[in-house]
Amino acid sequence: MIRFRNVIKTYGAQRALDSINLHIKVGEFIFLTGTSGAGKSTIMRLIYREEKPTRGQALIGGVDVAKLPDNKIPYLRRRMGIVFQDFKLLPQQNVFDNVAFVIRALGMNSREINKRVSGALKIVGLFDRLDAYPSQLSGGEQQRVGIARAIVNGPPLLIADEPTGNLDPQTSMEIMEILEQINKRGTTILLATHDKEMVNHFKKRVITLENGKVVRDIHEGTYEQ
Amino acid sequence: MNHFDADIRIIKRVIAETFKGIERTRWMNLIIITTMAAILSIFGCLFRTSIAISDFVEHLGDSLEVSVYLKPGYSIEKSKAAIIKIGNIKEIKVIPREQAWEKIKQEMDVPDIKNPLPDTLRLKVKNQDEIEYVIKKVKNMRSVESVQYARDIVEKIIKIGNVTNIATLIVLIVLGGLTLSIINNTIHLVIQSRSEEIEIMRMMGVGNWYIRAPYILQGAFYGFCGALISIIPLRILENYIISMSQFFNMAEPLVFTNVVVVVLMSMGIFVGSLGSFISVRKYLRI
Repeated sequence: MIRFRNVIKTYGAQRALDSINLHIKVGEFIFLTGTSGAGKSTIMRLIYREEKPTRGQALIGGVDVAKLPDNKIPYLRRRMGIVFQDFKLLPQQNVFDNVAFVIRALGMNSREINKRVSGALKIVGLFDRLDAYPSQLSGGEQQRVGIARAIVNGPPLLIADEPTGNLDPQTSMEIMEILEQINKRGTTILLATHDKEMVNHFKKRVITLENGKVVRDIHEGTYEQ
Repeated sequence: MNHFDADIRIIKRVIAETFKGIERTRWMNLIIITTMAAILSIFGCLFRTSIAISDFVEHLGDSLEVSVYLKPGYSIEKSKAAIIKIGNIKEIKVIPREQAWEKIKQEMDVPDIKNPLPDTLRLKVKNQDEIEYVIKKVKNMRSVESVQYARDIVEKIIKIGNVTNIATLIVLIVLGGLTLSIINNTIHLVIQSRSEEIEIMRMMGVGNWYIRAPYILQGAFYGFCGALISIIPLRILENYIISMSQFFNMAEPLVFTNVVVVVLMSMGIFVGSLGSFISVRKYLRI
């Protein structure tokens, strides 16, 4: 699904990623950990092609992102769902529209849109809040809308950058359980976090970054040794 | 999913998004459309005037006669044949001196003297631009005493026509640039106010043109509305031109205003969409 070969990313003189080698298989659930500035977000941004690697090769589903022409970026992104720390919902649109607007833009008919949005909202447990506006929802609920939006098009890959960073521990656990459910349905999940408790609790593959280098890559790992 | 149906639905969504964008621009819409209308009105009226003047020159030329006075003792018919030989003659009328004298005697109370009038030929040319050439040739004929025509009027009107043409062109360039920058800045503001939404759409893999098209259509909409309003002053000008041509006893101008309306519409829409296209290219990073 994702393969990095000697990926280097520099910003001016600063080296954000230093010879990263990664291989993530279909169906895996991966925690990407490390302090802020360690390179987690840069890896994410390379995967959804917001950035190009300075050197090396980053393959997403067999596609070399560096060689992907700009007008093909939307097609790459349609094959992944992205969940943000700050949810990024549209405040003037209700829950249904927040989830639906992406697939509307793809020209789906309303029956198909209804079916998919309802399905996604059922998975995150918000089917009864279709008409609510983001301001009427709690932080956890807003993030569940964000997740529903990310999975509504049935992407094989879900990327989440600190999805629980703005939430309390109990809500974070609920969000994690939803993501685990989604993973069990076959979606590969890459989740950047520095929440030790969560990483330790869920026992997934843990990739740890430090100063732009992979310093640990352990299956069923914990935050630290 | 049927591709054609999907495309139709995308077009519908894009149009819906366009009107949402217009709705959200609120009172600014009024300012932009009024400005566009004012600019297009100025251009449209100048353009219409310049068409009217060249039309006028043409018609005036048509009704403009050149009088050729012959020296006594030369044959009218021979002179007529020689003039026709020059070419570019639309019409030539012979007025023998006896006939002219009779006419004058009927109209006025003249004393019974010897006929002082020369034989006269009245001619019209086909192509006004070459009238000077014809006159020169005629003047050089041995049988011709003198030639008369309303040269000054024609020259003055042609000059006014040239000035109007140049003014129209300058106005087109200056106001076109002004319009572009107004639309460009408006759409920039709209894009800024929706930057978060655009960012989310980009991240979710929404197609570039789906994101861009509503802004470009919004610019086109302003151009269209401006052009629509500018038809009003154009109509008023048209009435004025019609009464003018009635005054000069000329045929009524026909489809020119419709041509101007089509030009204004296309210009408004073109400049409107170009202005927002520039803005989208500059400020909407995909």
